[in-house]
Amino acid sequence: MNKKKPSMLTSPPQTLLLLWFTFISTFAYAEDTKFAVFSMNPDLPKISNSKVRMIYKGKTDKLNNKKIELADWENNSRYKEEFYKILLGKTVSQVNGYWASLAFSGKASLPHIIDGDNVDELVSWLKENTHGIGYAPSPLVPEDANILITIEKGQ
Amino acid sequence: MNFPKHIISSIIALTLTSTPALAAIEITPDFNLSGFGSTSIAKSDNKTPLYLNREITDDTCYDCDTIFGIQLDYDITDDLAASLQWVKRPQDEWSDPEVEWAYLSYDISDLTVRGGRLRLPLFLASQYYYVSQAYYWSRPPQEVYDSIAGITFYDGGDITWKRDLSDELSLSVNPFYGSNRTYSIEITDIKVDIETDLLIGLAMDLSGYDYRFHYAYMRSKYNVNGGDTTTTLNLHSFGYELSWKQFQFMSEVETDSTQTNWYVSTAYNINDFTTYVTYAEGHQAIPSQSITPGVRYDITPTISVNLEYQYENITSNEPFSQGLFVLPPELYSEKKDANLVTFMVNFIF
Repeated sequence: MNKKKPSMLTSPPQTLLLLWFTFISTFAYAEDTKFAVFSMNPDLPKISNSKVRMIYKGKTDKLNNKKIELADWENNSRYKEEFYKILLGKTVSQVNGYWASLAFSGKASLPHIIDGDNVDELVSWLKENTHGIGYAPSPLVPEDANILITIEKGQ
Repeated sequence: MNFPKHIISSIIALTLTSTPALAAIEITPDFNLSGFGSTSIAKSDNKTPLYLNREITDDTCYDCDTIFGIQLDYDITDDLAASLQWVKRPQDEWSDPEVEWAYLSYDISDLTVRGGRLRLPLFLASQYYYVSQAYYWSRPPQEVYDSIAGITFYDGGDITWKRDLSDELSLSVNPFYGSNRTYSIEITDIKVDIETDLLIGLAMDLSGYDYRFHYAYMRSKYNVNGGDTTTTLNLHSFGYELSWKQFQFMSEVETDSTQTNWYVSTAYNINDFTTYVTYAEGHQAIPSQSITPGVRYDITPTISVNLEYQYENITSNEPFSQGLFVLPPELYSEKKDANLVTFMVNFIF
């Protein structure tokens, strides 16, 4: 009978340590939250705090007189909840209400939704959509991204 | 009362709102399906049917407010798009919903030109009147929103010019024109036809990220039930909405030659709860007064419930005044006011 080789991470302390690291890495961004609103198109200009609020409330959809497309996260996303709390002081339900009022008035197209807080997927979508804008915790944004503005608590 | 339909709509709501986001269902990258709905349990203490198209009485009603809407959006090219919205309104049978809009739109720089069936842009929430998840009330204040017999759409065209005046200010100007059309309204079992032979107007919005001012003008000629008398309506409306910290304020006034109606409303949000109160008055054609405190609870980011109390009162002492009742309460040997309680479920997908 073959005895199963013990995994490196099967001892209780190691498992607990792994769980702890997973927990910390999951919530670490929230302790010093900074979100970068970015594009993968280097030609898009830097934007002001007022402009980014107008954009994420669907009040404007233009930058440099060209139509932009927005990416957003799923409703259960940790990024989404924190971003809108900092940027607008609103809950995800309230933000959905604003977007519903626009989309069901024919005044705006809903943002493209990126699944599962996957920043790589957002970056891929932004590379395909040169007038696309998205947001993510600053440390997770790639170096070649064009950061339009950084949003942080207390602004 | 129609309990099975209420159950059916609730099942549809819970099934469809299990999608993870308000993102529409992407059939293809250019073709989206989205939708909305609401349903309620409502009861007043007056036998006289209250509110046009809803007709709530002292008999507990399970489908007086039931709405279900589907919207299809298709981007044909970068500038050309088509949209269709089909709504089972409170007054419709499930088997006979209304096409609330069906249009083609074309973008040319700051202009958008649309043709087909469009929503009347008269009031702040006119264009999403049936999407109760998009406002905090159970129903938009009837003193203002029922002032033109509940008519919500027209067949014709419009142009919208939208411009960012600065980083924090946006202006849109929206002239519209509607061709002649007959609107049928049912009041209890009485059918009323309103025929319009001219409908022309202008809507303007000035918006910052946390506020909006709205003005609209509409001129219309109409007659009722094919009569010889043609009436000219010149309607003005002005409204504002403002979000400040956890507060939200909304107020609107509508005035034409037959009436002046207005409301003020405020809401306060704490996490998933929003409490609100609305005070409204109607004058001349709709002599009424109402106060509506309520609370909304967000079950998920796309599903909410409202519990609302409303006191509605006829303010005229003239006999057979009806205020926002659909018929005079004297016909039912009833008092001139009503206490209404509503429990409503709202959703979007």
